[in-house]
Amino acid sequence: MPTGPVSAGSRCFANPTAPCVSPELCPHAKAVHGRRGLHGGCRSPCSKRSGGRGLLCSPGRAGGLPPCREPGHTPTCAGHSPPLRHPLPHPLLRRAPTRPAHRSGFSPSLLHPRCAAPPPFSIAPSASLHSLTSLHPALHCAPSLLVPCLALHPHLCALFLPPSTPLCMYSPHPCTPLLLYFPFLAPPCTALPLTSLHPASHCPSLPPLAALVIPGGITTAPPASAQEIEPLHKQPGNHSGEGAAKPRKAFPVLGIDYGHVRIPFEISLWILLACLMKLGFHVIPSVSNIVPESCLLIVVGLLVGGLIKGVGEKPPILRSEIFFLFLLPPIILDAGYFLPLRQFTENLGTILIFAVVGTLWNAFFLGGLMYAVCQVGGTGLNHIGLLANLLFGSIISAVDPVAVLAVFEEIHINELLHILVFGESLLNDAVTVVLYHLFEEFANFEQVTIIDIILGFLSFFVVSLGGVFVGVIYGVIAAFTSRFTSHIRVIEPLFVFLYSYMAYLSAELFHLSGIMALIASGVVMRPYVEANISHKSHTTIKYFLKMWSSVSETLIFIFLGVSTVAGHHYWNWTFVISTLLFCLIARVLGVLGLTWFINKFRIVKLTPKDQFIIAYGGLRGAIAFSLCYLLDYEHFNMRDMFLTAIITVIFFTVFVQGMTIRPLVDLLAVKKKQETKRSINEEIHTQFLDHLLTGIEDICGHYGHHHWKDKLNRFNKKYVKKCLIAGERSKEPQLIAFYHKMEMKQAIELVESGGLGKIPSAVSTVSMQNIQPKTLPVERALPALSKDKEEEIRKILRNNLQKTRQRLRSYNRHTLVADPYEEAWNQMLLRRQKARQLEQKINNYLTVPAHKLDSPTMSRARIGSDPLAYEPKPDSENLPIITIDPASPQSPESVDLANEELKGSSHLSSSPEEDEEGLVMRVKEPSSPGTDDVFTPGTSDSPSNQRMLRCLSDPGPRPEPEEGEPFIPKGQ
Amino acid sequence: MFAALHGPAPGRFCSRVLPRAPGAGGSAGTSAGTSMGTSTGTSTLSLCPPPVTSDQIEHLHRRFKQLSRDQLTIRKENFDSIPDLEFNPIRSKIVHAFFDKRNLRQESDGLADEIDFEDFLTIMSYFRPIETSMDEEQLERFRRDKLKFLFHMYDSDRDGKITLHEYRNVVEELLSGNPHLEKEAARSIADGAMMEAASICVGQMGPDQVYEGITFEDFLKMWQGIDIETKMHVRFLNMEPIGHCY
Repeated sequence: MPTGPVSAGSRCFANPTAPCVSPELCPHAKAVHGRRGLHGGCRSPCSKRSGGRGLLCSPGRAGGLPPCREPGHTPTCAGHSPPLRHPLPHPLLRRAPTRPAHRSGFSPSLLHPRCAAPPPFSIAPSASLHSLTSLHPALHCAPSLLVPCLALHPHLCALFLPPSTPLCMYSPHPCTPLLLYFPFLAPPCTALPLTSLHPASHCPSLPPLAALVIPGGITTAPPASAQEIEPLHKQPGNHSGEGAAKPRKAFPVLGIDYGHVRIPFEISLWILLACLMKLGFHVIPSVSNIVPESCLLIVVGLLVGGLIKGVGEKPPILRSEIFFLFLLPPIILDAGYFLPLRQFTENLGTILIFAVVGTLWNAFFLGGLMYAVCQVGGTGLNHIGLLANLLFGSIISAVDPVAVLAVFEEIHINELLHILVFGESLLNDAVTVVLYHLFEEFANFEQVTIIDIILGFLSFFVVSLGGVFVGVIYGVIAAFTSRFTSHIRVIEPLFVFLYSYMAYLSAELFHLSGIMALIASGVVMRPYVEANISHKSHTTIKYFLKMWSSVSETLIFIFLGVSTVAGHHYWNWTFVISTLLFCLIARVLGVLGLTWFINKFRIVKLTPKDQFIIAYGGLRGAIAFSLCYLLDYEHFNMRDMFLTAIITVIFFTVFVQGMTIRPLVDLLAVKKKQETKRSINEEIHTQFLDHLLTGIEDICGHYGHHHWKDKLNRFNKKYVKKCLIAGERSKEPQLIAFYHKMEMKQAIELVESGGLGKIPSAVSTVSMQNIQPKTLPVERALPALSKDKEEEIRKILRNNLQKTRQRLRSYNRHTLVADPYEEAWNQMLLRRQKARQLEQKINNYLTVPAHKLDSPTMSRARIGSDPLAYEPKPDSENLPIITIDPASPQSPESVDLANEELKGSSHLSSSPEEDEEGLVMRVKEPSSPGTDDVFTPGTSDSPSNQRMLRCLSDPGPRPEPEEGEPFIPKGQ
Repeated sequence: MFAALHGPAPGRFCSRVLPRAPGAGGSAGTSAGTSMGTSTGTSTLSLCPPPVTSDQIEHLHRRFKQLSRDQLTIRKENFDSIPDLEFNPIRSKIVHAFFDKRNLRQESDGLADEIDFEDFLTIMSYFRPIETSMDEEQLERFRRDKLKFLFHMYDSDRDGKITLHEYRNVVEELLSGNPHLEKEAARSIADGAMMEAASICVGQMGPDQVYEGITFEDFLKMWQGIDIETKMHVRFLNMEPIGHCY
């Protein structure tokens, strides 16, 4: 592209001795270079490298550039003394800073309109670093002159800073120093008194222009973006802000201000791309059946990156800060919060050994071997020392949770293997963090003493245990907070997210292991939080976590691809190939050796197949990449080569291993995950077994796993739960809680499947009668209620219930639960609904034996179509029918809720005895079919007169303990 | 703690085939080295030889003596002396299991009054861990044995079926650690579980059909999803069978 007039112009820019350095020439120059898009090169590496390094231009473009831009010939501008046509004796000339910019320091691009509105695909702001200077030849020559030039030439200034500059960096009052804050993309250089650039900056009160920092590599910047000036000139209104001298600017009816929205806009665009890609893969299942999603995403990233590069922009790079602060936490929190705790604790020893010893082994083995390779590997490698190699080894040795999750979730491997590999990938974070910081520090030391090593060893414990400690503290606080949220349900989920994130950040603050903190907080808070928060909040948490983590994961993989295109690579065959090879060897050897050791202690031994999968599942991923990217170029100038090697390893593991692991699992017939629904029976059996094993251990006099678990459980129940869980639920045993959950799920399933049309499988056609054959239905006296009293109760109930429903209709933006009883109300409805069905079926079987049903399916269909047809003759619509249904799953809790509901709905003093007995009142009004009660079954509006029955579903006529008959037929 | 068990065992010797003599409790001295599998002449089951090492046997024997106060047999009351067992909600079932003759591989039914060390070991051998050397068939039998033990714990009236009544008892006991709980909750859970079991095992039932209780076959079916062989074991019995002589 840099051809014709452009190269002429650029020569003029570049060559300090060229005569065209006058600011006045600027318009002309602009006209000459008026074509766009010449210089992707202006977003040259110096944006992220330290100034003063020679290699400032991307090599690809070097050929088209004038000689003075070659490396070596481009010292920092300060050293340049170009003959100026305006040798301005301005004092500022001396003062102008000449220090090289810090890495990713202030970029002049911020000042420039053009850079404020770059093409949509460049996220990296440091992109067009040099556009400011490139605008004008004079600036090229000596950045130190920039300021005087600007100051002396109002016109020029106007050029740079038209009033409508999208980023609006100067204040309306020209003398006010303005803080320019770029929070997201250019962190280091945040504040800058911009006024100095303003024409009005002659204002004497201004501070010296010390803050104007211009990267040393400015001269190398190709004279790009000349074209940007053009639009400014085309819009005369832009200059109007100059001051009174200019005509007043017309009110812009329609204006474009891309810079204003740029950052969020581009972020959204990326996320949207990620989501669409994910969507696309699932629309086309044939692709995702063969290739894991992570591979496809990387490929998409490669394509997009290539596209951006092809257009001439600089593709963004997966920045480490963004990765560690924003993309990683959701994934880890999701993993930690939903960690299968039972398997995790049962295999904790194995996981820890793999995570700690395995990672250490990998790091040192790899580092040592790579050092050997570097020693013999040729000229390019000789300078890489042992510590750098060890650092490299520690970066690349850690198995990556993101990659492992992405691949293992698709192959549905059995829980044991899953938790082993996944747990390892989570817990090895502490080792990685310690090793990374250790070697990074050591690399700066003259010599490493034994004390340093001991300290490093010590820091491992501090980092890991400290991380866990921070996490536990935040988890407990979160649990405690959630105790009080019952009135503000809307913000419940937020507490979980915020406390976890705070745990992560706090741990990172002290360089502790953030991942461990996040996992610990998730694990600790979950049981208590779940007992406290509402069902809806729980669903919200679940969905949000899943959503965030999957978006993060998608973005990570896409950006891995993009960064691969964007990054600077230094390909060294020896280094890359040996890295890859040793990585595999180290993993295999490590797993084999460690399992040999572990199997001595494990009860369930790891078979060779398991070992193979564990070794093969050691995928590397974005954490390694980001860690390497964090390396300081100053000290590790082989960073590019490291990055290249790491990317190669990542690609190899994700593509080759990730794609072949599924066929291999099939081939080896590794046991897969059993897709079983958690059933009540299973829960009972599991608990029974737990207690049994605890008992046996006690009898043996051996204090093992179960014994301590039992102790912990008892402690938890006795003290911790009382503090952290509000109300009655703290006393609820696990089995009951589980049962309620199941019940709830079934009820929801039922409602979703359209009323009674489909009976959920757990209930099936088997009714209580089927399992209660031996005893005959015993008649039982009904609690007698006078008709008058019945009537009275019903009236009161109806009024109150109606009131409740009306109240529910109002919508309030701030509180999800307009009515504190809504939750209870909904749950009660659910439970009642279920109870009712059960009861209907029971009645069916118990009271109408004459209607023998032909077949189970028929019966199901009949019940489904109209349950009330089998309702035992409601004598009259006015006579309430009292059903006593002790067998219905009326748990104490639901009774409580019902009572609360009744009490809450004001005056229900008329039936104290029912209240005490925990009666559940139900009124089905024909008048309110399909109000906002979503839980009304579809059939509810059919025989409305029969609906007028009230079920006083009573859990407790307190049947005698030994009485075997739970079912009392309706009044016959 | 395992290292301690690995320590030099004074009485390590070949602990294999000692045919069980009736009332062999006396022989269970410090070196009571009978091994379960081959032990009972009456046993219909030939459990593969349990990897109970002599170390473990010694340990268990010490424990046995401690429990029985140096008697040759243990009675039910002896279990009361274990403090930790007190809190176990299914305590009575566990103790019961030790005296259940079905578990002791005796022909007869019913409850034993007292058990000797060998019976004690027999019960303990149900809690052996899985071995890698087992083949499919052994594994299946291994699994069945363990489940049978559990089944017997549920089936308290020994009619080969877990009836609703028995199931309720189990659940009530499980929940008995919680004083705030009413029986009602436990019953409804048991009812729900029973219905679930019926629908799993029988499938669809007409109204006149009767599901009398969970038979052992049904029990096996219900446990299909759970790897009992990898769960039901006590760590103590997982030692390298170092004391073995073949």
